[in-house]
Amino acid sequence: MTVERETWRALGTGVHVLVTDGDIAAATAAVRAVLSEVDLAYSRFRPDSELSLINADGGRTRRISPLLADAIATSLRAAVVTDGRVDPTVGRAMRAVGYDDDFDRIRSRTDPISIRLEPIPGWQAIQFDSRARTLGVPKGVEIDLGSIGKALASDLAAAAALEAMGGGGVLVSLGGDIAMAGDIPEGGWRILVAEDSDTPPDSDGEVIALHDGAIATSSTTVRTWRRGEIALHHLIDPLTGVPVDSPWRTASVVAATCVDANTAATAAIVRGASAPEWLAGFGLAARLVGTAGDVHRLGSWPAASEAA
Amino acid sequence: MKSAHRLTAAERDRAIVRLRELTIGAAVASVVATAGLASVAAASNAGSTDSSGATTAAVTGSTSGSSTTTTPAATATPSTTSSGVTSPTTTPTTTSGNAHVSTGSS
Repeated sequence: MTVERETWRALGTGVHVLVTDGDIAAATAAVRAVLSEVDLAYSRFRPDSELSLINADGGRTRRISPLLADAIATSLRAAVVTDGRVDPTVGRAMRAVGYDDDFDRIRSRTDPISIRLEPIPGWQAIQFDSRARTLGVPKGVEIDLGSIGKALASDLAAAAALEAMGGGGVLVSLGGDIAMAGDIPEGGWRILVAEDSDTPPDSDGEVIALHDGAIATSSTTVRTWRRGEIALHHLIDPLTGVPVDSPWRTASVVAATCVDANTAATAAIVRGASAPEWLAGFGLAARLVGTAGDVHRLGSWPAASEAA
Repeated sequence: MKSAHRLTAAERDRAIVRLRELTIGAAVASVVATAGLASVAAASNAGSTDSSGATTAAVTGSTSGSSTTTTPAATATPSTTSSGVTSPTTTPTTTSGNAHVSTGSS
């Protein structure tokens, strides 16, 4: 089986489409179309996105697009299964800690920030009817679909690419959130487990093979910035409304879908010390990296194997 | 449907400690003293929502010329659920050779 790839940037992150025995052009076109729709539906940094318009005009219930409805349902399910550790109502808290723009611009700001601790409204504040496809967001509540939205985009893009190819196999990585569909290369899709998704895949490090499902990684070591003397990152603890202080700096999880993998990875960091027990309860294969760099392989995660 | 988690005393303490740390260590212009308690209350309240499904992908496993891979072991069939996240049908395996792609945060 031959593997072809296309790489570009979209939604502020790296996109990789790999195809085995399929039409790479068709797959790429399908992925681009999905990402374009995602950008328009729920980008937080695009003022004319459907979600941005809703966040700017809270307090009323409106009918939303099928894609945004899918994303909202996905984020609410993530909130339920993580006992609120992954919560879509962190939008205002994200802005409060300075994450309110394209990340390159955020990183360039170094002046001191005044952090205003604000209550996280909690996902229960959202009024969502999946059948009527209506969404009600109270005034002052801002939804941020964050990494769950990115993982959903990976799942949708992989499915769309396979359908466009009409056969073969495809892997889609959107900022390290990896979904696959269709046939698998001999030996599986080989994944370098890194903390930064921009790490070249031929770098030294731990490599595992996936034969189905998906993998996602959350980390407090990437998308970090400083404002004055304060070091900040993008993983908000819904209990406090500020970046989480966790014993884990990075969590990688293998699950049936990229959404599930991302949900579990993010929740693991937010949960902290109780993460191993929580992950074990779902029988998930996971790899946690402690703040000192100590690596913990959980469930069916394979023993370490270094890249050639 | 699984109800929302009711916080333990230890979890509330952790939230309060974190708030205190930030109050002391950061340039805090305005601290809403009830922030932690309000968010604790929000997280403690049960709620309900709709759920979305999970998917599976094809299963294969072998040894290729450019890399070696252990045979994947079958696990429980995944099922769609709103009360948990699901594992894939096969477990990840060890392998050698260059990776196709990297996972990581972005």
